[in-house]
Amino acid sequence: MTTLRTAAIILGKELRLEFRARELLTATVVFALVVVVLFSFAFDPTPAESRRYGPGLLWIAFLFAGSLMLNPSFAREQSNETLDALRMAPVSRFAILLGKILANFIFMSLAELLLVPIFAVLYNVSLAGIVGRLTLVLALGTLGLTVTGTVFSAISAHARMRELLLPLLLLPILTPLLIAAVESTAALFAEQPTIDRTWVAFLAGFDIVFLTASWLLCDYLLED
Amino acid sequence: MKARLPLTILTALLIFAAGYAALFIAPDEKTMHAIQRIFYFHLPSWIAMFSAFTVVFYANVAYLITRNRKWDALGVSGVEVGVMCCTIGLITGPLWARPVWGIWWTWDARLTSTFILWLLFISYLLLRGLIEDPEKKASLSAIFGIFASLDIPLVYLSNRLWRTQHPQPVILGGPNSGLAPMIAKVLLLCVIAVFCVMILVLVDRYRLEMLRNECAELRFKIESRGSETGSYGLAANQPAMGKAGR
Repeated sequence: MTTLRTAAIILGKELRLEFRARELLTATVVFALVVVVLFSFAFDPTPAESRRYGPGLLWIAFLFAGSLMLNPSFAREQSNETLDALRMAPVSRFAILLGKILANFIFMSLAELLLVPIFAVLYNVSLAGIVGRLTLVLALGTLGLTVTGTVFSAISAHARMRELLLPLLLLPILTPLLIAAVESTAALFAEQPTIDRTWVAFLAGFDIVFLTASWLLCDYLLED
Repeated sequence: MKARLPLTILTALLIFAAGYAALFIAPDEKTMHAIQRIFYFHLPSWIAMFSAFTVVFYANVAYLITRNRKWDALGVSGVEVGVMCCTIGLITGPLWARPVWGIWWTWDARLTSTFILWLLFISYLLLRGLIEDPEKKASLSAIFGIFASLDIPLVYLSNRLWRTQHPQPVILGGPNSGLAPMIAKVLLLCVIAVFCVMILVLVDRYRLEMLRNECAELRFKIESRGSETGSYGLAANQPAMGKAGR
């Protein structure tokens, strides 16, 4: 219980920080939008093709945007040594990590909330009737992205060239998530939208595996 | 230490015997002919790679629990050797696939999974190169190694669900699978030989890493002593700092 309460306090701090500066979210949305627009120039898809390639494009945009957005999560604690202050607090390390994961999950979800409708308009994909199921798929995929991404952000914060390193560490790990998310989104964008239980279960499994691993390893991850 | 030279010679003899057996003793395969012989090094390199990465996973977990630098040295050695075996597998695979499948590469489950595996552990080595602090380098790369190892079954499962084209397992793969007895014998010899080479390189790489650690610690000691007293003396009978000297 105390872990959750502490995580909520960390979450509040992250949200306050972000909504005062509002730089991370804006940059993420614009970046993902640029990817979506560039894709249409590179492939000039017909309506049938955009149904075929749309899910992949959408998730590639999210993954790239996420791998850039997650970088400051720990890197900005580095400049004023504020992570040491967090560590000194008598709270569990997992609460700190969980707070940051939740904050990143919210940022990423907000970015997706803005991007999905724009994507649907640009690529002629109808969202009517699938909003609930799409939200489930997006939430599961985003959770996996933010769990691994936040942990790797803590790793890359200690390295040189961290902006380049984070995508290098993160994107290969996320390939199973990408496949599962794209397949389950494609099933929803099809003529007869269906929910692909196998892939949704796979996404949930991915989240559980890496959430458990972060819980087990967070003491080592956030040590002095 | 004394056993090193005889073991090296033994391994060299083994790998030469394996090469000879694979090229001249093994029978010609019915449909693929000579090109099939690459299989005698393709499969053993995968087995060696999986053994190396198993060592890596074990070493990563052991490092985080014990904080003994020897596990970190074993981890990085295992990754380098594993990446080497993986590279051999990724090169011999397409060489075989081009005449047999007609294409160099296909995005099949096993091919894709091993390619991702290769990328993951290349990232592990990059990560180590980019962290200065040795303690941080060891613990953070161990965490990344564990995450990467956890990811491999998921990569394989996802690709398996997605699509697959790689030949089904020939050994223990069902009623009609199995190898001709002579092929099986040669293959076993090759597996043992390549495995021994992997172990030999791994042990040498591990000793090199331990020596490097010891050097770094001694250098640090000399420098800190020099700055304190202005002299560069090094007490010869003092054990090396930390656990590297043991």
